[in-house]
Amino acid sequence: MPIVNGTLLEIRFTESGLAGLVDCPRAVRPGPGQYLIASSQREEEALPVTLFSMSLPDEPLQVSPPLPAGWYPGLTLRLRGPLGHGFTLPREARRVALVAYQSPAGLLLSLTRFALKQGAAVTLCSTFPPPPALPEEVEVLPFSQLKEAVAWADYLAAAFAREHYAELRQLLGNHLQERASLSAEGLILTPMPCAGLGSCGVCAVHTRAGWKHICLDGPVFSLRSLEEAP
Amino acid sequence: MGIQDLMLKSPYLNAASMFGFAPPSHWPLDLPPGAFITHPISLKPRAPAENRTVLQFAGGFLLHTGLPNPGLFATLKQFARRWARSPLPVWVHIIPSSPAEAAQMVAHLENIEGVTAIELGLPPGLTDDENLRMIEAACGELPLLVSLPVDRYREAWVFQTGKSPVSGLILSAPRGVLFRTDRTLVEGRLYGPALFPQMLAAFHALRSTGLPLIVGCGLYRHADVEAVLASGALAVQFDGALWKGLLP
Repeated sequence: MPIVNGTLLEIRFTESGLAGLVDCPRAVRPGPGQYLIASSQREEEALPVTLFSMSLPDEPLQVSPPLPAGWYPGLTLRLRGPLGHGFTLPREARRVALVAYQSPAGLLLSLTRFALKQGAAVTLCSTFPPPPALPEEVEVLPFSQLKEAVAWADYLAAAFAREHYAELRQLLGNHLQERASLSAEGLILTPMPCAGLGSCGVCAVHTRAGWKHICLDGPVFSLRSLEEAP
Repeated sequence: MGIQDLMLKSPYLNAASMFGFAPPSHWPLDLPPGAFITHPISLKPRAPAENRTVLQFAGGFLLHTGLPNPGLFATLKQFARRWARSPLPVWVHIIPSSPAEAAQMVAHLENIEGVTAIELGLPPGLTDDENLRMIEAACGELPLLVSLPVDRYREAWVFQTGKSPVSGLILSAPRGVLFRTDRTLVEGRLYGPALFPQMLAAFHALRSTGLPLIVGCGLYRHADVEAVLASGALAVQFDGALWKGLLP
């Protein structure tokens, strides 16, 4: 796993916090749903920061919010990545529903662009405002239309914090069970301080196959593999 | 007791719970590793704490996990072969809940290839006598190092540890309490460069015990590492610096 230096080129204020543009070698860039970790030399920060990409592979690396408040353009970052298992967008997917529940929809932006690139129609249901960089082709639905989006889709990708999964599950109701053929994945957001190095257990999640580490076995899981209270 | 007696390849180690159960393929620091210390292992399996979390503060973080692990026998089944093949000596960090468990775990580990020492983590809340009984029970054929959270260095039992054949004390992460965003309190182990002065106070106070001391907390800078080694520390253990990298 390469550890390289990168540079934070710019920061942007968004409704979900600071986002940024990072100059780094291609080798560490994460795919949709994967992550990389970044450490600054700032003494106040004793832990590395988890970064998710909002870009396509051939574009400059835009990372989703929230970045630490003390980060500034020109900051040197020690980067390790790409880490974890990301989204697996089926090649045949043509109706992609994206669900951002109490989390920035920007986390799904790179997946959005992959889906559009393969000719899929994409809808976004988000409890947060859509990101400014959301492509125009994406249909934005109010979150109240979540069930309609699920009924329409042939692939569903969600992003949510671990503590919100039970709520999301309730909102999805029986729709996932009724759509047995629907491929549904979820990006679980939770602190991953060791990023796979330590099996520290903070990010442990209970699945139908037992305890898993979100940092190693995820952060993307099949929604059908998750227990009620991950 | 020197680093040769503990078969250490260098004085630079990882702290328990920072590197999982088996030696990593890549050591992330520019200081060569001297041994591998396992994640804390209990006799029986432990599930993650229900309210597991990590909370940051300026210069450090609080980690509350419940020290999840599959238990000694499942761990051995999964990792003993890797320990046997490890180019680094392996120290197994055990967290028994009673002296009987400590004795049972140590006796079992004495027969495992690659294991060169035992690191004992003591449960919080024991009396002085209970701590000493646990240490005595863990004394076997392998060198025994006792993990001492730095917030407990003034406790009376610490100064009696030398009565048992203990190979050294490891000054490890203290416990602390922080608020979550919902204002509930969470208790856990503290890590980070902000703990260095507290660790140094414990280090200097405990030199009078005559026991070898391993500094295992608050080390994030090369200069601090070299300073504590020059001051007589037998070795150092890195914690959060393994995840973040050393500071300049």
